[in-house]
Amino acid sequence: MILKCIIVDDERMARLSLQHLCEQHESLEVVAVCENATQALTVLAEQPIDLIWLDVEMPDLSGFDLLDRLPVLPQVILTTIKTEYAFDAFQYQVTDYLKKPITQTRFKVAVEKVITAMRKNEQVRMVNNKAIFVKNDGRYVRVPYDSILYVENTGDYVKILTGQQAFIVYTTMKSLEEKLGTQFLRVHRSYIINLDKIVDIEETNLVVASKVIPISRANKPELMSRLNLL
Amino acid sequence: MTNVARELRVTGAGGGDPTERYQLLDIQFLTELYGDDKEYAACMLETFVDSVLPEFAVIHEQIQAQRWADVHPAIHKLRPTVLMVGLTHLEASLILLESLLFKQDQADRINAIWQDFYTTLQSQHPLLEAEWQRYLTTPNL
Repeated sequence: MILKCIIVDDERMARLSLQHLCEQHESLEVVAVCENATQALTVLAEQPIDLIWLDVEMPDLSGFDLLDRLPVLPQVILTTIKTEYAFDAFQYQVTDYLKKPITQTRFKVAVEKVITAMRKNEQVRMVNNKAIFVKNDGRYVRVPYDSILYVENTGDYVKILTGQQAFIVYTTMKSLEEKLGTQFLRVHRSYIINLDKIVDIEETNLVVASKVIPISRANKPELMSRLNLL
Repeated sequence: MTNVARELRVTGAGGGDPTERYQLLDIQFLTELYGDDKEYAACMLETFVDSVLPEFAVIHEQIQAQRWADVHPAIHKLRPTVLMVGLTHLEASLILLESLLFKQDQADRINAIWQDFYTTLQSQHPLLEAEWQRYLTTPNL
């Protein structure tokens, strides 16, 4: 696992030190070294970053100001000479909090914490990749992809059909299409089907669990290319 | 390099007993920071001497001009750097200065503590240069 990281600190020696320590570590790749939070925001807007080494007290925008401006937080390690920010660090759920100057031992411990957190996130993502959660009667119900037969557009809502029940969800077909995995395909403007559930296919329609679903001319080539044909 | 920084180099050019080096530089802390990575240690010492000492010279001018609003963030920013070159005994003065500057009173006391700190910092310059050279030139340090 190689983590793309940036260093944000207004003090030169701190930047050099962190850059050196990161470059010595096999799991880290330094993408940018920033003298202030504004520079860092530009870098963060341009590419995905796994980890920010972030000084707290900087002129103009502080480290916390920078975190407030990020829609999604990557892993964050705060670096500061003060210990008074521990509560704020906890509030922002940063991965670690290092007091300057940073020793090699403490640096390695912090990187290990980041790697552990990243692995945990990856496991959560893999679990989420096998199902979607659908709001039903005021609660979110887990609907495994394997249980979905097809999705039907009903105007403002979409209907997700499984073998056991139907879920009515206020969303768009496009949004759902993006969320579902590769085993799904939109075959018509009103239908997304689970490719594993097709019973048979004719010229202009197909059957999924006794439901006849139309195939649009535009979607047919993609459908046929995704099937294991003899 | 500013005039003050140039003056620092001249002032610190005196020789002295090499064994005294260890009386004022915290070698144990330097070892904790840099381990056996001599290039890393030398780079940090070089940066301190070439880039950070001139920044302290700027603070000296700001203190003389009583520009307290500029002095406080500058001292806070540079506080870790004295530790990074083993001048751990100087940190207490900077902490005290930060505290006094936060309240923005006792100008005489701030001046006195700063003067003491800055004079000591200047006196350490030859030791820092020697330590930097030692990291560069001594094999199996």
